[in-house]
Amino acid sequence: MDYSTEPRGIYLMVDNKSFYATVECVARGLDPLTTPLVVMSEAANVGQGLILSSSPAAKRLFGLHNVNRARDLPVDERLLVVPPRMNLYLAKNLAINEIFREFVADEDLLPYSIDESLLNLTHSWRLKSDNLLTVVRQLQTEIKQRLQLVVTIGVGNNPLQAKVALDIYAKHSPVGIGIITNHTAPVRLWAIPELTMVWGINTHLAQRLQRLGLHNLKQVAHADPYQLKAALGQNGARLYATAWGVDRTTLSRRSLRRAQSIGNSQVLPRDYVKLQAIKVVIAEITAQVAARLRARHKQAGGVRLQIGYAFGTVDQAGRAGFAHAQHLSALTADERKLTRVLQALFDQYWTGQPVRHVAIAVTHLSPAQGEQLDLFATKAETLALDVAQTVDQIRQRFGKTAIMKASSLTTGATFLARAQQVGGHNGGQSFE
Amino acid sequence: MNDQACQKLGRQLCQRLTPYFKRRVQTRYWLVVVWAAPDQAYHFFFNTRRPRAWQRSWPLGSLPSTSLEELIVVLTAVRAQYHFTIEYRQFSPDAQQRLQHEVPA
Repeated sequence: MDYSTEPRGIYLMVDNKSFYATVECVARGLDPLTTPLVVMSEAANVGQGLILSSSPAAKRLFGLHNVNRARDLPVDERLLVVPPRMNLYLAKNLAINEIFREFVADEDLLPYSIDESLLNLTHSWRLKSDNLLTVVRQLQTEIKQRLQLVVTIGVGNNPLQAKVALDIYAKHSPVGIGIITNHTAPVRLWAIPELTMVWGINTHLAQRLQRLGLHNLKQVAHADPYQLKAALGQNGARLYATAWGVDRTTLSRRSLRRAQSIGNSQVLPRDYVKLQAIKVVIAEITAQVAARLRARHKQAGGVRLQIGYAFGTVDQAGRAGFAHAQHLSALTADERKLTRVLQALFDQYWTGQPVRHVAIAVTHLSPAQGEQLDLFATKAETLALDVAQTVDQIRQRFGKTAIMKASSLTTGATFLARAQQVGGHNGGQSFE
Repeated sequence: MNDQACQKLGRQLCQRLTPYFKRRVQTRYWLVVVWAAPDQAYHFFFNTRRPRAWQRSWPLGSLPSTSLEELIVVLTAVRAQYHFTIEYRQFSPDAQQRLQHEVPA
């Protein structure tokens, strides 16, 4: 493999170690390395309790990992269980990203998730030191000193190498730094024992690869790329590049995604069996999605509805739920129209199974300025969008619950409960 | 922040901890106050511990302030209603001594 024509940037993927648990330990004046603390969500939709994060000490002492259930927690008086505070974690994430901005320009920073960010240091690292490793350690030290949080960092010549260096090497390194470069990519990537340990390869994809006789990245790297693409489509070409550590992404030139969509989903607090109650939830989630659509000045050309049945329930076809999409006759951001189509989709495909999970997305998005005029639309329909925009403004100014539909007061509605949460978990409280 | 506002915060703290204070037997309840230097704020938590159960720690709120006087007024307002042990963390020895002397037992 000739890497001389491949990009040779300096990319850092930074991860906050046990983020929520560490933030909670620090807020309580405790050391996350010695305090067995777990952040557990006890919101109605997670059943008995869902562990969102465990401190390094809890992981070490009790063998815990994230996404355990409360029933997996040993009853031990040493364990400190705390509720999540999503607003606090968002604030800490913003503070960390502010520190990153002292190292890179805005266009070279990509917050990847609430606890991971990607930095392109190619053009700026020499402003801090002549030694790259010194700059990486300086970043760790700044975050530790100012926020008392511990970060692990993957370094690579491209974003892919940085991410894999983080996941596979940095998290197990005593100094919290892992490095993969164009020079070391084949050795370090091919040494990964399991395909599913690699970013972008889930169990399903790994099984497909295994059916092709490919059990590790070395075998993928030496497979015929054309055959891989024929068998797996674009994923095949991407995997071939991954196996060689090649990624030509440029952070400052964000790619245009072909199929953009906006969606929200909810795991319901109990199994829903009544049609009316499920329809209220569909209407509420659609309203949420439509508000996001309007905020981005977009309109939708299609909708997608995904329903998950209660645990252990299957339909006549043996499926645990269904997902269907539909094109709209005209582009719209009107939540009433979207709700009507989605509820009709539900009516068409639901055969009475108890429902536990509802996901709604609007697809085929276009800018809102090119709205298709409808000669047959009534005046009320034309006004509906204005009303929705006014509701958005009221909520922005006075809070989410300042104005809502009366149906959100009916049995089964989840709007009021969800309004207090962030990402489905407790937002936390403060006096500020 | 004036004394009245601090007293109001103290009463708010009491309101927020009341749902967790279930007066169970063999259960220890205490208040934790942390000086968080990165946030320049005092954080308040209500902790519970009972046999054969996990320890719990409920966040009650934060007071963005660096004034020890204000904290003393807040905690005095809490003391007017509850007499839990108060555990101070991350305070300097001098500040801790002052708090122990000036916040009523």
